[in-house]
Amino acid sequence: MLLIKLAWRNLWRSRRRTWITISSVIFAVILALFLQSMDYGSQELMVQNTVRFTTGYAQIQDTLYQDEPNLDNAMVADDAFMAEIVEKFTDIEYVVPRLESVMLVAGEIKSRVGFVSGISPKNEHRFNGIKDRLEAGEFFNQEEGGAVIGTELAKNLDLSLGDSLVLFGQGFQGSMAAGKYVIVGLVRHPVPDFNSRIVFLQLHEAQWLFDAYDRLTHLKLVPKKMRHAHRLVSAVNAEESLSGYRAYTWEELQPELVQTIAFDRAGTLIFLLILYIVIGFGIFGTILTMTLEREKEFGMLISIGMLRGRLATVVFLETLIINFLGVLLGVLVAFPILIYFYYNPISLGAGLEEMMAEYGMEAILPFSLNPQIFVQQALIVFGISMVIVLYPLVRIARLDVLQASRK
Amino acid sequence: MPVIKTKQLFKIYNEDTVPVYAVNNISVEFQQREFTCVVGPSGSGKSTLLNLIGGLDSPTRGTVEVAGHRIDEMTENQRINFRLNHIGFVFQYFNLIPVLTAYENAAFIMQLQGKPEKEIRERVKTLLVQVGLEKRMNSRPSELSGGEQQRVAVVRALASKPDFILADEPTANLDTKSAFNLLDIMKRLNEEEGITFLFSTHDQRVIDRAGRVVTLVDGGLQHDTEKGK
Repeated sequence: MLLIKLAWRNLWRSRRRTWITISSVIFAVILALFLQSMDYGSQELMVQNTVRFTTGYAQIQDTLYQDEPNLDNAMVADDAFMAEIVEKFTDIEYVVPRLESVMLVAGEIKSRVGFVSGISPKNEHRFNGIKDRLEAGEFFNQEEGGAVIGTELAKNLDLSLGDSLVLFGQGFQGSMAAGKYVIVGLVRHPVPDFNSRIVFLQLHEAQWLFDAYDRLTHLKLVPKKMRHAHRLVSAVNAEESLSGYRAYTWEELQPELVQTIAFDRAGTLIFLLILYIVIGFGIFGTILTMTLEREKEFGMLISIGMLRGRLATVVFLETLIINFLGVLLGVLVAFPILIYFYYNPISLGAGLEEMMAEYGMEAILPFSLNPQIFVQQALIVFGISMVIVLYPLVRIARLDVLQASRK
Repeated sequence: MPVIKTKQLFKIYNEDTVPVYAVNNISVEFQQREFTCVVGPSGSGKSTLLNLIGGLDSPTRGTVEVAGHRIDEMTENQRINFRLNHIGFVFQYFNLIPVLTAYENAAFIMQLQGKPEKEIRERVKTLLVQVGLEKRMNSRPSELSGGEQQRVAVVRALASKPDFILADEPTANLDTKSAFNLLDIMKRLNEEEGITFLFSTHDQRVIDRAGRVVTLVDGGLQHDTEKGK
């Protein structure tokens, strides 16, 4: 208690200096949180944009499909199976079925290798809003069949709305798959590679085409909260009744995206390191002054019988309190700012809007409120300050009492 | 039994090059209840001798025995603990803790010793009354005069009932009135409570009140005079 009282009183012997130190910690925390939140926000948006038009956050496949992605390894998944999955795993909001394969896509004159994707139009649109990207026609009518194809594919094959195309390839277990479809819609797929290859069919049409009734190549699991995707995948993989299936997270399905994010984070880390160094020296300057100013007093305290360890504890407590206050106030100040930007992301301007929309992205700098950011940054800044406190501790340990007393 | 005993005590700086004898072969004893001054010109070794006796410095050779303990053989932490429990210090520049009140400064050593709060309160308040500071207990050092600060320092040194008090030029920064006041208090504590005082000083006012005067010259003991003998 004596040591705490002494530490607390010492803090306020020079209010201005203490507040300057606390302010530098507050500033460090706010800036680090701001940078990290923006970084995480951008990455979350990038993942969201990429994942929703590709693999989804999580998906179930046949255990063999990941290594050999062909129709023969499509899993059995009828409506009852899908309903059971949704019912069994409470983290799932809904599921998005897919039956996909590569086929030859032929127009009247030209042909190309295309990517045929059998979808449930309603769930697909719910998941990624694909219907909003329709350039012409309609995105499937329940009564009518037909195909919706990428605008770039249509351009490459000299096809337009109302024209027919022929799909030709291999179906389930070596069966021949061939069909002729009327183009009912043209969609601008945000992923350029898909836009030049994609042919959407309704799921039952694709199952008929591939002779793969009640089969899916994969089932996307849409979690109620995106951050629960990992938990969901673990739960699915732990379920005994699903032993012939395997669930994957988007990280497992898109390692290249994970690498992109890691690279992006490395860039931010460099900025953060510079920030940490600048702030660290700021705090160190104050601690250095405080230590040198009080050496005579330290000498006196040791002379009258205060063990160096107890004296070091007092100085440690002083720094601990300063840093705790700084980190706490920093988080408290930063939190409302980040909440504001979370709901009102920074706009990148009208010029970029159109270009980014082409890729299915919004022209904004989004922010994240991921709790990990707050914990991580608070701990890092706190850790830096705790490293700095080593200086006065070492100084006290090595203090020459007689020399200090003469100062 | 003497409370302090040094035997063939040396403190030599630069022993391997040009040796400087700060303390040169001093063997001396100080008895309980003594009120002793160590005097001598600047550089004579007064402060060094007190530092050796107080365990703030280590001798080059010789022994220092305080209250039956060889402090020259102790580790640093043992010496700090020994100082805490056996020696009271009064410094030239008062050296109070600026963030604590007069009462808290005076109670500081007893708190370090872990004494019960009730015992601390009774002891410290009694001493502060004895030195005339009962109305300044809640004042911080910056609100006290030099004389008042030094009286607080004396109470701090006395509160834990040490074996003796080492005072290094305690009146050097005091005006005449404050110095006399402080000396009266210390003399009274010496006579009434049997507290042993050992001063280093140039101040004739202190020397005049001392029962024994030890004179050092060039680190060596020149005279050791007890008044009335």
